[in-house]
Amino acid sequence: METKFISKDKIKQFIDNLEGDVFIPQEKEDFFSWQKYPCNFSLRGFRTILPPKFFFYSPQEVLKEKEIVKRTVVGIKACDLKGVLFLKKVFKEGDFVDPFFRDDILIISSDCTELHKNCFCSLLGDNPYPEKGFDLNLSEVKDGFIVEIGSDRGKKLVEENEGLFSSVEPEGLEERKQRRDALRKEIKGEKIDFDGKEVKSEKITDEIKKCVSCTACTIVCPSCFCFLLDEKSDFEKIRFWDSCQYPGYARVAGGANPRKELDKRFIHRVKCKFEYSPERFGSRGCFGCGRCISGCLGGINFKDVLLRLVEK
Amino acid sequence: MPMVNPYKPVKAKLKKIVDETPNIKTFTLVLEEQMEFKTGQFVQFTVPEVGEAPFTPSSSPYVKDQMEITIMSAGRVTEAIHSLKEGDTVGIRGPLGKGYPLEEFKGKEVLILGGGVGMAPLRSLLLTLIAQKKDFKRILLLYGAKTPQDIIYKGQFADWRKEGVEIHRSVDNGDEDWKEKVGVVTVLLDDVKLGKEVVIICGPPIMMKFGTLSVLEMGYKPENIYLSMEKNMSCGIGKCGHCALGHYFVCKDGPVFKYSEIKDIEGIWD
Ligand SMILES: Cc1cc2nc3c(=O)[nH]c(=O)nc-3n(C[C@H](O)[C@H](O)[C@H](O)COP(=O)(O)OP(=O)(O)OC[C@H]3O[C@@H](n4cnc5c(N)ncnc54)[C@H](O)[C@@H]3O)c2cc1C
Ligand code: SF4
Ligand code: FES
Repeated sequence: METKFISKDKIKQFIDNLEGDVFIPQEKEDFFSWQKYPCNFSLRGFRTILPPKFFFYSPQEVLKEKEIVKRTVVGIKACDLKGVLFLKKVFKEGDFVDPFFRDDILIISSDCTELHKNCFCSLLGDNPYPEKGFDLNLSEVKDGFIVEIGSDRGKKLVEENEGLFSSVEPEGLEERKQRRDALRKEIKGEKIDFDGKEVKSEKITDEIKKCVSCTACTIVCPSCFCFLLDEKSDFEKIRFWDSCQYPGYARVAGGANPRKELDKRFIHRVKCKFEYSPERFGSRGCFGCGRCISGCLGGINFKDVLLRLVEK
Repeated sequence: MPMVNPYKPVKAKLKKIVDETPNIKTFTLVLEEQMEFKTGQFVQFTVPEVGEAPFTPSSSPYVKDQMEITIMSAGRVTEAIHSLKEGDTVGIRGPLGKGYPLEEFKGKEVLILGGGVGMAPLRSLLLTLIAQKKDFKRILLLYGAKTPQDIIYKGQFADWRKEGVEIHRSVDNGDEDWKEKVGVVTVLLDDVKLGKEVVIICGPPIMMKFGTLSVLEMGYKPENIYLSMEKNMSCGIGKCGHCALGHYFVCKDGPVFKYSEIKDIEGIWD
């Protein structure tokens, strides 16, 4: 892919020039959160506290045609970009296409420069830097960013802002490689080679018992997509995010419920991510962002759960 | 280009409502836009401001100007449907899912095993088979209900018999006038000599389970047993996750599955 260079002092100018609504991470004490630009921003660090799926797929939305404002999300990290691409498959592929999922959003992703304590992307075989699916990707190097062009829209954006970019020196690319390799090596632990086919629940019974069915894990997951429809007047539907971790999620009239018990729901989540999603959508549904660990009210560490499940 | 919104129902007028049993009614709908369906496909039925629920049309797909849906009152949405009046406007989304694979039944003995309101999709299938009856070696219907009162389509069995369908019926609890079999529907399997080619089952979960186990024991092959799986549904188009059955979404990969496709999935009868 084609690359360019943009210096630190020009990046703000570039973001100023973006049209429509722009969302970008802001650094807080020990986390990053999404803010609407203009604001102080940071392209360093790790994934934001909430996933970017909110921008693409609204938590509560009336399903009718409406005006949409052009939108750009800057600073999406690798795991979250994979999440967005996963959701695109769910909503935009198959016999029916969902017209409300926003695949028109311009994506300017960026490399992680640090890790959150719960990050485990590389244990799943993924990298902490975006490789595909972005319009532009920004990799921090000394004095600025290497800009990788990932689409025609990204190319056009660079052309429109020609004066802000220069060509990349070979040292720049070498530095990017070194930074990327160094960060990947920081994630320590056993590789999680898991296809979800055989889940021995007895290995994780004590962990499952801690679940209080709050559904935080699915809400903060960058790839969880479940929703529920409800009626408005005039045959309009409203859609809410839903969660397979609610006890009544799969209940049918008459009271039958294939996942009444806590352990069945927990294992459904594990299998959905690692077994069912690859079969349904050709992609795993977990990208190692570790938000479900940070968010779990019961204190369940999903990474440790996976490690225990693959233990011989 | 106008937006294609798969969540938007087509408006439909309730032309006629027939009481089948104390808790089952058949609704005849005339849709504002015609909707062609294959027998076994389902629709989402919207009651404005109340909700939506999935049902399989019980009418023949050859009848294009109206659609019949037979509905048991079982909870929030179905109770609201039962309180509707002729002339009311509702919404229909569909057709959804895959129909019965009729091609796979051709030239064969087709056994239909139905229980309770599970007869609704089977009626549509039966009417389709009757319309092409020369293509099938033999058509049998074994139908069970709780009591004689709970039998749906009461006046229609005679017509189907005339068309050459072999019909046997049972009720769990008979009364003085009941001259046919008493017992759960699987007892009817003992009364007929079968070539054990294909069997289609639809009914309440417990009946699906014991029906399947019985025909397996008789020697039906898992790949020749066709089951209608009832799972919780919301979108009906493979997006919302509710109807997950292993890696399948019942709404788009079903609702009819061969037993061989799902037999290894945990909890299929729950
Ligand atoms: C493909 C298919 C075809 C069908 N065809 C027919 C047919 O032809 N005829 C027929 O009579 N039936 C048919 N059914 C069954 C029918 O769809 C159900 O009976 C109907 O959905 C019941 O809806 P209800 O709102 O009346 O029931 P309820 O029991 O009130 O609600 C059922 C739905 O609401 C949710 N729900 C309700 N209360 C709660 C709660 N407290 N907590 C959590 N969730 C709750 C359930 O999870 C479920 O989604 C079919 C089902 C499927 C899947
Ligand atoms: S966040 Fe933890 S407690 Fe809450 S539903 Fe998920 S696993 Fe259960
Ligand atoms: S009902 Fe939504 S995925 Fe099947």
